Amino acid sequence: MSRATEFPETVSVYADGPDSRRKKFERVIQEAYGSGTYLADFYEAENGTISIELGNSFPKDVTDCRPGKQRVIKYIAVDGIAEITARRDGDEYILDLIEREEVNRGLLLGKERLRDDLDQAMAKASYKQIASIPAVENQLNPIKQILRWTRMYQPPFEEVKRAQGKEGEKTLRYVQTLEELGFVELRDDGHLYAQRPLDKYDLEQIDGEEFTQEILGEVIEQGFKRLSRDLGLGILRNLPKFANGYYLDAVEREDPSLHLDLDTIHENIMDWYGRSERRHEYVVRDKLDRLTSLGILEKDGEFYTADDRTYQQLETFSPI
Amino acid sequence: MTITIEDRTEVSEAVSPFDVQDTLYDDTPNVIKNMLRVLADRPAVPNGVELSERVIREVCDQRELGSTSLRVDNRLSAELSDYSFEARYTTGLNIDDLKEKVDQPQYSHPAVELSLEVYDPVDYEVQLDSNGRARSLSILVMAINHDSVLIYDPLRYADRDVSGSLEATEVDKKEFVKGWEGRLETTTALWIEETDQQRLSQYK
Repeated sequence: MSRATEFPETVSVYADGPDSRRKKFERVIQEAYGSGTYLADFYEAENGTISIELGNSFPKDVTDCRPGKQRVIKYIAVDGIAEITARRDGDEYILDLIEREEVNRGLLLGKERLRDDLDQAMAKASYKQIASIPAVENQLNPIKQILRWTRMYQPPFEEVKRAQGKEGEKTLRYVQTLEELGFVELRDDGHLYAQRPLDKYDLEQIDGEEFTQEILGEVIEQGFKRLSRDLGLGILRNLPKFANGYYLDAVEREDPSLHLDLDTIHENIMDWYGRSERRHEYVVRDKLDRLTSLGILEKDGEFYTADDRTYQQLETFSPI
Repeated sequence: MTITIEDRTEVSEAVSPFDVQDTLYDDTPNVIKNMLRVLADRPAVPNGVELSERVIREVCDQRELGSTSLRVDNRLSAELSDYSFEARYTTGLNIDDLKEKVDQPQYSHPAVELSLEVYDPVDYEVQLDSNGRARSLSILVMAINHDSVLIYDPLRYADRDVSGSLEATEVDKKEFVKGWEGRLETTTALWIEETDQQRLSQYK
């Protein structure tokens, strides 16, 4: 490639008034990195060096699937995808451009952050329903045991480990997670002690169904990311992911009456979580119907729509 | 004078078989592809000017981020250099300058960007992001008259199964100009023109 056709390493921008200077930088940056790129932050230091944080606004189809509805395209802002600087040189600024690939990578990482935050928001909005699913309860059983035994016996850690009989360091990892989330404390004497979120339950409550749902709900709410990733409790990620295949569009449009069909929700999941999320239609339908029976989604004929309470909660926690 | 029935017929014949873009953000390569397609269909223009989608995506370094217009004219000219055509990219044209380009038989239809923060599209709705922004939209200018502009708007058909039945969009000229100037008050235009003076005489 000749110099004339290469992506340039620097671009010069003439310095004039502060307002038009910012506009000129924005124009140059849009030419370089695409028209959705904007200046998320623009700071000029005393010595004339300019530091710019880039953001990008990307399009998402959020059309209602009912017949006769007009197509709606929503733009979503992602801040902090890259940083670039310019230095003053006489009556112009020299802007050091970075590779487009790097800025694009920043956008993709920013989208992943949004997705993870939305998953966390959904976990918070639906944690009680999630905790009531037998498979989730089953996966969280070791966590529940540690919480119950700690509250009842203030046991030595080694005793808990022996009681669980798990291979390797699994019990220790569970305890460390619960300690970081503030539910238990492993003190120097080797015993486990209940912390405030656990201590608030009376001893007679601990064996009841309510305790299980309440405390596991709290654990999911506080520790969704750690539990689902670090401890490999994949089922916790599954339901928020399917729910967000619908709620992403509804929250973006600020419209809980949005109706989406199964194919659109499935496409959304693949767009946000990767093509490996392609599943047979029967499986997707089972998951969505599960969410409907848990009261996280509602069904209207062949379409899925928002559960009002879940929508309101999600909107409160949502990063978008 | 408004857009005539003849204008409309001619434009709709050109636009209906256009390639549809697969994603919502491939408007720039899609518009360049269709620009070259119309140009290659003209008599005495070699078919070779119709570049492949792969080459066009490389020319504008198309990514999810969007495309680049820095040196896009140089890159496109390099790809067309076997055929005595070259690309021109310029800023700061006004609507009369643009009409001149559209009416020149030896020029391709120009591609311009409309700011979706200002321009209200026909047949679909755009919702701006939380900062009140959106990407600009690359469109192809097909005809300009006293009070209307006929454009090809690729986002109207993006990711839809409508092959062979695309339609041009008629836009009020003042609204078009507002969208073209956008919030940054800078117009841009990209077009292809013939460079061989001998061949130019064939058009006269």
